Amino acid sequence: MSGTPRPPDPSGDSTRARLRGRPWSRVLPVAAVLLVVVSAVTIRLLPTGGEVSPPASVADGTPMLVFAEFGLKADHIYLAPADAPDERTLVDTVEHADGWGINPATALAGPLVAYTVIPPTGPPERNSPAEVWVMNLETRNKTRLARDADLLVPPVFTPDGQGLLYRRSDGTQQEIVQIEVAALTRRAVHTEQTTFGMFPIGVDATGALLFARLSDGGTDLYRAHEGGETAFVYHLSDDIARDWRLSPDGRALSYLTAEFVNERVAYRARVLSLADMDSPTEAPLPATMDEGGEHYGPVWAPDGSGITVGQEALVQASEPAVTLGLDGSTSALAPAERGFDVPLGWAVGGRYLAVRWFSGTNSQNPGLDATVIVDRKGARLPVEVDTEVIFIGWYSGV
Amino acid sequence: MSDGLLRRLPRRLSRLIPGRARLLLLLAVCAGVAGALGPLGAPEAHACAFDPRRPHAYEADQQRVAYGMAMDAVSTNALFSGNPFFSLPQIETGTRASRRDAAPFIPSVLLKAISWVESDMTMAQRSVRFDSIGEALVSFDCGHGMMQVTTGMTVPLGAGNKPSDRQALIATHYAFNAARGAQILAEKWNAAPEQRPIVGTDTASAPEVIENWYYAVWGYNGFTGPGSTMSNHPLDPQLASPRAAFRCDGTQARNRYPYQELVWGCLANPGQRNGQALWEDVDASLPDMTDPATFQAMSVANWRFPYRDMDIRTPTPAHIATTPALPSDFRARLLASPSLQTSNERVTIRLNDPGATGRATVNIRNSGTGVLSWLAESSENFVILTPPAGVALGTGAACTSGVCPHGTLTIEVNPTLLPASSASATVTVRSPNGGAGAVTIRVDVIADFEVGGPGTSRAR
Repeated sequence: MSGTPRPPDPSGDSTRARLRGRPWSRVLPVAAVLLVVVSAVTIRLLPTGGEVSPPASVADGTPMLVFAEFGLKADHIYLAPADAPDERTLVDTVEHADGWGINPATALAGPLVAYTVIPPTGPPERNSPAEVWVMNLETRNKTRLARDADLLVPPVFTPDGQGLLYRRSDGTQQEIVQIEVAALTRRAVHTEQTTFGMFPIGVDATGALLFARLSDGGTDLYRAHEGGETAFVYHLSDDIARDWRLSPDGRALSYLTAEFVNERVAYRARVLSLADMDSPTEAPLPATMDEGGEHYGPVWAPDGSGITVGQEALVQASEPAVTLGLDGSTSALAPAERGFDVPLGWAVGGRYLAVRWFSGTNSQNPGLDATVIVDRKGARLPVEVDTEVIFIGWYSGV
Repeated sequence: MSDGLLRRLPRRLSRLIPGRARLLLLLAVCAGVAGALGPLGAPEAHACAFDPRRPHAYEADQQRVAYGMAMDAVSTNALFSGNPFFSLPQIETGTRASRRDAAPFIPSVLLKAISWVESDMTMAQRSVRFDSIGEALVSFDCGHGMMQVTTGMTVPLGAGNKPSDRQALIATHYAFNAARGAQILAEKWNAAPEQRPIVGTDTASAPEVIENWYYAVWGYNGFTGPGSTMSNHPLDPQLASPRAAFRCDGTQARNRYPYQELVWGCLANPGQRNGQALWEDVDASLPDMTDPATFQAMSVANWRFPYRDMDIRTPTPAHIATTPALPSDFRARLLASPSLQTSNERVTIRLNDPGATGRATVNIRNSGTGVLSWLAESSENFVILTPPAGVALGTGAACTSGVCPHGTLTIEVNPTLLPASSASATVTVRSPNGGAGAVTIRVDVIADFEVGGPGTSRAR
């Protein structure tokens, strides 16, 4: 190596000339530092492929199930036609920390899939900072949106699909953050100190964030307008409520709450009308077959006319999922030979319902599980994989 | 700090690099070292007892016979009775109103299932072969070995801010690691009723009842409440419900389960190797959340220290653990009689010779039996010792790879910390379980450069 000064670069490249004018002993450390700094601040935004034609089944109107097959180190995301789940197409492989799979958003936003995941380099612990990703099923492009999410709290798309809500924690401080997916900007919508937790539910018909909040008083529903005050909406339960879902129009909320019936505790579905935010009211639901029995996984019918719930199979060998209409109607789906179903989500059009089927009787004795597509016309189509199926949603084209 | 370090560079060497460039070079070196210590993008790691290097551990047989025996032995305090650091404490029993001390006892199958959840019951990194020596398993949060012992392993606790003997044993030797894991689980159990609730209000909270360990196992990972990012609360809305039992076979994401249900799942579905279960399966019962009393106990209203309203009855059907049968020679097989082979060594490390490796290696030998743990310390801070602790195998400890039976200590020098262009240090290797002997190594370092033309150097 030589430190002898050189004349200016005749090419006119002043940077190169300046570098040549310096001894290597000066340049190399600068370059090394620059390399380190650039490497440290680079955020990966990985377009992983080009335009991809929509799958044939979407073109012919059949919705596609989007699911992940869990793997110890990586999950495989597939698309499969609702009427032929074996004919699946691999969409993507998501590597993750050993044993901890992806946690998808409760639904897709058009072609966008969102999920939290602990990256493979992350500590395999439930409280490890998780990444938030979105993937476009049409282009297969995917983008990392954040690296500070709580893994176990699923992100939620805003109704227009432009925004994504997720939760992050720092000690006892929790924040619900909204990311603008296209602009890659984010802002905290609500922050609080809590030893319990809060959970983003979605954006209601007025554009306000709805979130559930646990405390020693139970579970409460709150709403927060951007830049405005946080307001209490409704006391959902004296205990831990769960499985909250906003109706398609954002004017009603379904959830499960514990009820003490016949000397036992059963989680049962309720619907809260949010049409009048100043005085939300519980909407009556028709009786299910086993009154007082457990309900599972309420999901909204695509047209918002009612919710579909699973029921425990305590009396019969099996109990079907049943749709409870807000008009008082009931409609049972095809049951399994034994066990019970936990609804996961309806496909647009309302013909196909993805469920997690359990071979046992109820939450205390669930037995084995599998993912099944229930056709309203009577068929039950298992999604056969060797490991756990992680339901992501339904894709029906754009 | 950086200026101080720079001042300690050999004068002739430092003259080669101008002041600002020296600072930048130092930053770059620091960044490089940081990069070398952890994968890019990895989250910030905690400081651990042996940081920045990892100790070496003995990975015993693939069927985990040695590990299982160690857990059986420590579960009844048969192995370290009277040992001030590793004996199992008395286990409290009785209800909140009638709590009393009883004999040390943990269902050993719980230790096995926990170690499987924590580490697949391994002491070393996945790349290390069984019946061999290699880099110890140390997690991001300083969990060490098969029980992923974190408590007491986050900072050096020995004299002079160096790792202690106890830390070295926990990190390197499976029997001590099992014992420390059992101690921690016992501490979680004994935290009731003063700081934690009781399981087994109807069975006198007998420790022989596996189901009565539900809260203690929850606490092993963190007695964390609903809604928190670390939650292990079974009613937490973040966790799926209903959820099929954890099968412990790698086919299910852990996302859906609180920690204690992972352990319960592994109790019922033992790990398998070569077609053989590694422990006897126990289909232990979980608390019945449809039971009003149990549900109420778990309610958010009761989630406040010291959780006195969370006491519950024993989940049914209950399963009783019996005292494990141990072979008569279990102590000899687990602890044996290791003996550090004393020696005096002298090594010279040349930093000015391009043909030299710039390092020296010394074998650490066990002239006794079993697994000997050792610790290495230097009198000077410019000496880098890798690993800082390790093991050496004597007769009776299976060794099927080329990296054993001896431990290998690599000695290197951090030139930026050299006080002069030649310096000496003394490295001492001692063993916490291998007698009073020591290996003493005198290290001479020669780093005398001669300046050539500007910007160049050449070895003398």
